[in-house]
Amino acid sequence: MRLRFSPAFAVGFAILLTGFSFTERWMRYPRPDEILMIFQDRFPDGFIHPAMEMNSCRQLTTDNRSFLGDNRPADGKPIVAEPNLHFAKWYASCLADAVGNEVAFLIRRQSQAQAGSVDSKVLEWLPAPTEPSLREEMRDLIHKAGTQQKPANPAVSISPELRIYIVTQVVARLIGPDPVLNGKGPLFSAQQLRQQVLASVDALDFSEAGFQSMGFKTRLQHSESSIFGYLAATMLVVGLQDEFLMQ
Amino acid sequence: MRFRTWALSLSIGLVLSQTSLATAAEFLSPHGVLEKASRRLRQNQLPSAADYAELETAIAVGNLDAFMDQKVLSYARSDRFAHGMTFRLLEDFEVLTSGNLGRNVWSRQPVPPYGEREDTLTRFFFKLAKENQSWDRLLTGTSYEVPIYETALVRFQGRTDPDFLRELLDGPNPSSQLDPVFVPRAPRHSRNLQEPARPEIKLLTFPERTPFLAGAVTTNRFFERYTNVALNKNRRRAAALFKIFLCDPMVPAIENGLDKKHEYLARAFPKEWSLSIQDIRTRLKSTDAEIHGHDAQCFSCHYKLDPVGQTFQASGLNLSRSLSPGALIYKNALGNKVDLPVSGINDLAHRITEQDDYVACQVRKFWRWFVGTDIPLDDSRLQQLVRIFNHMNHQPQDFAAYLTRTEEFRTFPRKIDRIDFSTVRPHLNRCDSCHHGVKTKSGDALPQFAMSFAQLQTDHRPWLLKMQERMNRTDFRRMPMDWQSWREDDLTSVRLWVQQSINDLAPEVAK
Repeated sequence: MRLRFSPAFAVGFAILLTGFSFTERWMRYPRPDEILMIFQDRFPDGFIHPAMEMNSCRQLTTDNRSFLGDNRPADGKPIVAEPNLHFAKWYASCLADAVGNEVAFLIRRQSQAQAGSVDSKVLEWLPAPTEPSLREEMRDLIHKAGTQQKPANPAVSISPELRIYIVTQVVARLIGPDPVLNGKGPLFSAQQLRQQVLASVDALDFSEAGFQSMGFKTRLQHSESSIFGYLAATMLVVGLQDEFLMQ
Repeated sequence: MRFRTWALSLSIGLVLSQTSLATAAEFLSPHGVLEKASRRLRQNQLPSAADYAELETAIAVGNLDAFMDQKVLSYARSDRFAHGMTFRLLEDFEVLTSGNLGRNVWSRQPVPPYGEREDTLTRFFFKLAKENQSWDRLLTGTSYEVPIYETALVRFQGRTDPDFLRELLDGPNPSSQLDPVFVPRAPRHSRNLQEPARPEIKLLTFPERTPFLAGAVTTNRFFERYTNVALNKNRRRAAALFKIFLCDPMVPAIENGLDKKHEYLARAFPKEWSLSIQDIRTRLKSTDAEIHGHDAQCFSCHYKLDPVGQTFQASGLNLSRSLSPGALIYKNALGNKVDLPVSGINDLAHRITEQDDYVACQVRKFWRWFVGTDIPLDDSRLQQLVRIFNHMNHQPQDFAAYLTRTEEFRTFPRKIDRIDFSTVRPHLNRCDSCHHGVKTKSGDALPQFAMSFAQLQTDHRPWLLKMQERMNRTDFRRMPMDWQSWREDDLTSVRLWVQQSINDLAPEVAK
């Protein structure tokens, strides 16, 4: 709340929300201002990170204005009717930045937390599981944040049950709880989405080079802990689902 | 009072029981409805965990309908709703242009959120949505929040909102006077260069039915967007009113295609003429039946544009206190001619809001914004909604919240299996690279497909049939000639689009 409409935020946010839209269709991509609002809502601490104030995600430039849905001054209609490849690249890069900053923020908070405790912000993303063994495992991994060597693939050091738990939590927070997902149509289920996300996250190459090769300039180099790396990757994958963005 | 209106509207009985329908396969679950309502009403904001918890409690105690009524209404009362509506209105008025944006980018001045935005029109929209004023105030409103900038900033930005309203400020009417001399600049050393330049906002309230005011229409940004020249006679502004408030598409009578355009324009301005501006003015004032204003096809628009345009005549660059009488003349949805003389722009605004077509048009917009274009709105349903909209005194928050409680809102989204022109345009460009301008045996030049097919017209059908025939051939005349180098998906898209367009353009009998 303290940062919601800070001047720094207003610069990029309001610039983008001033003059952009896409053509209305049966399922409409949100306008760039709505996308920024989605980022702001879903990654409240990452999206307003000072590092993002003046980057391409939060600022309109001659390079990105047309594909973001700029309107023709002559008739007020969108120049580009539908999001194109450039839009997808902008979106993915912006999402990766927001996720990277969000996780970096969580790690910083956790490193400042009292020994043996879990920071409240971390708990918002990863509430303690009811299952005792899972709870212990997660707690242990969180406490090791910043002290553990970055593994080539953090998934290998996390039990399958905990991975499913993390995916469930992230999906619930970024898209909605099971009843919402199950109510989206006969061909869609929460279980199906989670399986899809889980498979995608597990297939990711977590090394920095891997992310770079995908074009994501993430700040995952900060997330030296396996659990935070896994959390970031899950956020990223969920953020790329249609259900995250579209109504 | 508002709540009573809301409750009454629900009692009309058009909303079916949420609980009984939730289990049907084609409807969203209550959780899904809450999420969708929250996203549509609050610019994609998700319901909070507490909202979901309350929902589950409501389901458990059998209080679902009352809970949903209360919750969606609270969403519609939020600032996010007002922000969303502001943006929708800016789009609808087609004033959402980067031209309004440039100075903020290049001067790197932070731009405040909508409710605090610097232009009168945006603030007008936000206030209307936030205060749940009657939707008619878009046309009949007489209260403005006018930003006053420092002189130095104003100079290079052209005409400002205070400039536009200057003539009004000389009279006794405004409840608070604007200072046309602007706010003096602070000494340079005391100014923080990083500090955003924020205008001083003055509230300017005129009495109801002030004859020279018409809500959002009599604002600087509307006038700048729909510019006028002497020849145009405010027809552009008149056309905007028909488009925005009566959903009249105002398709140009002059058909697309250079030859025909020249043919029609020649009726007004024959090629052999050597005309001065004065000649043109004289010609337009004449009663010669040959001039384009009297041509039957041209007159299909001019009979309604001209009298509405006259009501703007008193105002040039700036808003004037003088009145210019005109008339609201058009054919309504029933095919009856409406002919209402008006004394000025405010009278015109009130006349428009009294039209059934106006209400139906606005209801359709709300439907598109909140229910979605994938769910069809038939005439009988439209009439039901018009009655409800009237019953709610045209209040946007209440009506938007109501729409999210309808049965249609809870149905699953349906994909419309149509190929969009933007999908095929790049492929048609490939066709144009060889065929554009080539003449057929009969002497007709092939149109530029990627341009002219953007707005399909009846006489395009023969070309489309020809394209279809050529694409389906198997001999050397098959098109595209280099079809092996095309992706199968692209060819399929073009084929489907051609077929779809042929069907669209089929004569009514064939349909």
